[in-house]
Amino acid sequence: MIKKQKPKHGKTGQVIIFLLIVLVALFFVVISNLDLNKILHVKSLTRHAGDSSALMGARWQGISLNLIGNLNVMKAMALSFGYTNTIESITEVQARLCFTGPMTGFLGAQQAAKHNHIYSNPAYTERIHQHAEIVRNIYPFQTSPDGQPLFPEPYEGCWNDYANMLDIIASDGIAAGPDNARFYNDYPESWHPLLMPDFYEAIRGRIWCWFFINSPNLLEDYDNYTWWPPLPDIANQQCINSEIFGLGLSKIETSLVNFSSKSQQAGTTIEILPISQTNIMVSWYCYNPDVWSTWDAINSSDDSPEPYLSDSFPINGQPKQCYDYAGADTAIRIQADITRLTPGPKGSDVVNAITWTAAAKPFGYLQETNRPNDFSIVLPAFHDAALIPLDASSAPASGAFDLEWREHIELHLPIYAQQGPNAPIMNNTCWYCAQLGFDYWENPSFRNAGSSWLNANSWKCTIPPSGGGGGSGGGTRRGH
Amino acid sequence: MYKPNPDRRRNARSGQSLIESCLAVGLICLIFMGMVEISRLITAHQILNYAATCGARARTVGFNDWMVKKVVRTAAIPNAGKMITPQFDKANPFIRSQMDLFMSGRPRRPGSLWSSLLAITPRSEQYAIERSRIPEYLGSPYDALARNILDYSDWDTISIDPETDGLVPQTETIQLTSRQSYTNWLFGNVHKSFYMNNTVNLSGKSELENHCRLYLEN
Repeated sequence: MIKKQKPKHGKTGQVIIFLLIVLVALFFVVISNLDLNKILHVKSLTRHAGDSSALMGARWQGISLNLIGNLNVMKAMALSFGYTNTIESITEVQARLCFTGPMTGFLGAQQAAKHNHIYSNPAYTERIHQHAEIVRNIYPFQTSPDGQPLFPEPYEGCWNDYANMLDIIASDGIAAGPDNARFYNDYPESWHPLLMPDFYEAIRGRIWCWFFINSPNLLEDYDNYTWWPPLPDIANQQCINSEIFGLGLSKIETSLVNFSSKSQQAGTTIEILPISQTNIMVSWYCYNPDVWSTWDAINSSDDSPEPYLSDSFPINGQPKQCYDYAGADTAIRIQADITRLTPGPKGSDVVNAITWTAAAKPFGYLQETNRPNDFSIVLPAFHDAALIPLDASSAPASGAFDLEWREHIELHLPIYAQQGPNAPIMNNTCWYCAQLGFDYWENPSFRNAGSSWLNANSWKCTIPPSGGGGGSGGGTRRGH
Repeated sequence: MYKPNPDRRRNARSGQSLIESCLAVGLICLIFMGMVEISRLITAHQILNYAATCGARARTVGFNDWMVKKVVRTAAIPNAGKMITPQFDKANPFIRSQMDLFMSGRPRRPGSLWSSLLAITPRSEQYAIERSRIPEYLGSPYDALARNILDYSDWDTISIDPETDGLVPQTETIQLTSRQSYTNWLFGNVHKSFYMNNTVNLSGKSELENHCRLYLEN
């Protein structure tokens, strides 16, 4: 009989222990794969939500513009029949539509995001509530140095109505942030490194070529925070458009005959009704030419003197003639938090933020080749909405609803400009403040490292395109 | 007369079990490494699907092949191997300090090294540099300039299909496939125990509604 020998203590379990180690390692491999799946799933949700929200916003912009255009037509008819006393009422309805239309789009964008399984974002919601308070309590009373209202109401009670609409939308939770919001008290677009997000990215990524191309002497000339030019003043803005998904319109008091001459300049004619009142001066809602210019942002032609300075937009083809206009568009920012399965320190949850931005625009034409804004006056023309490249939209490079950036430029920068990197507010968790601190920008050895690199390698910033393969065709900082 | 020495027999048996253990451990190691490589292949396939979605999304708003290629490449960075541009000291100072502390033998609570190392992901230096350089890379107008901003050892193994050759796609939907000849093995040549070739051809597909045909023309 074969007697099975009992293994000795100390030798048994050697392989088991090893096996356990392998199993633990495999467990982590499995949950990291599950994490990846989860992240990609949430990314996909944010994309769908962002795209559909942007389309919804753009669709409502188109509807609002058509309504305002219809009211312009109605006004012309009222004039022709001599109902001049109704003109003022129609104009007020138009003034209200400039706010209620975009606000309906904003509300629709929230629904679209939520239908795509994106929950409301508490920070976005709070921000909109805060802004409603500013609209309600500050806008009506803010005056310029000469005592004029800084933000005159387009119609009586507008700021209160507008604030109420913002509050009502925010009370259901904001899931889709308006990334091209242009608040009346925002900084104007100007070239100031501290207001450019790519300046901070150049610091963190040590992209010395950015300095070489955009501000060749900055690394050497900068001494301390007092060197910066002052931050620009808040510019007065036309307040007839909503700050969120604004339509870019202006109110012009003129006679109807003037539009006839404009249409002739545009190569066609508006058939003016045979009316006696065409010379009466009336307020018409028109496209603001500063906003409704040609769609230059998407222009793929390149006239830069050097290839490395190319500003060619990387698209195939060119905009169709009837759609070659900038103007009203919608940009959306979605941010969703994801909790990873992989445990964090002391078993805590690791939360990552997934962000998606998208832009869309209402499209339409008057006749086959006439852009909607060819005759200046708003007429019903819009029949479609489509996604457009984000960098061809009116969304600023920083994103108007990137709350960290907003906090930085609204709260941190004014204090930094006065007190420099030693200001207590600079020790917070703000990523942008960290780049201005002593570890990076304020550290002379950091800037010297950049200067030394450029002295030896600046040729890399201007290297010509190679003849043998590779790609070319322009670039834009956001690829969607 | 020969008398077997019980101690010698015991020694022989222990040697035998040592060899058996080594074989078992080696086999387990091999299977483990094979499973990790398979898991990485599955991950790479998912990443390529994601990259194809990003590429299709870029094409649906009218971007040209060069831009779509850049978008697909940045989305597929996890599959792209080692970062070769920019070159920087990859040793994370925090990890280095933690390891020094660990090696010094000073007493620490069990698991504290694990906790502190987990605390830093994914904010590694490479991640921070990628985050800042990707927009600049996407904005670069041609390949020679782009490669001086960001480059990876395996980026050239990733391609897109089909290319538009500068024409606005007129189809109702945009279909895009991202392909990669995957060679990004973690354990050297261990995969050859299971699979003879050195490359695995992976692909990811995506299809989206075409938006740009509304407003762009050739």
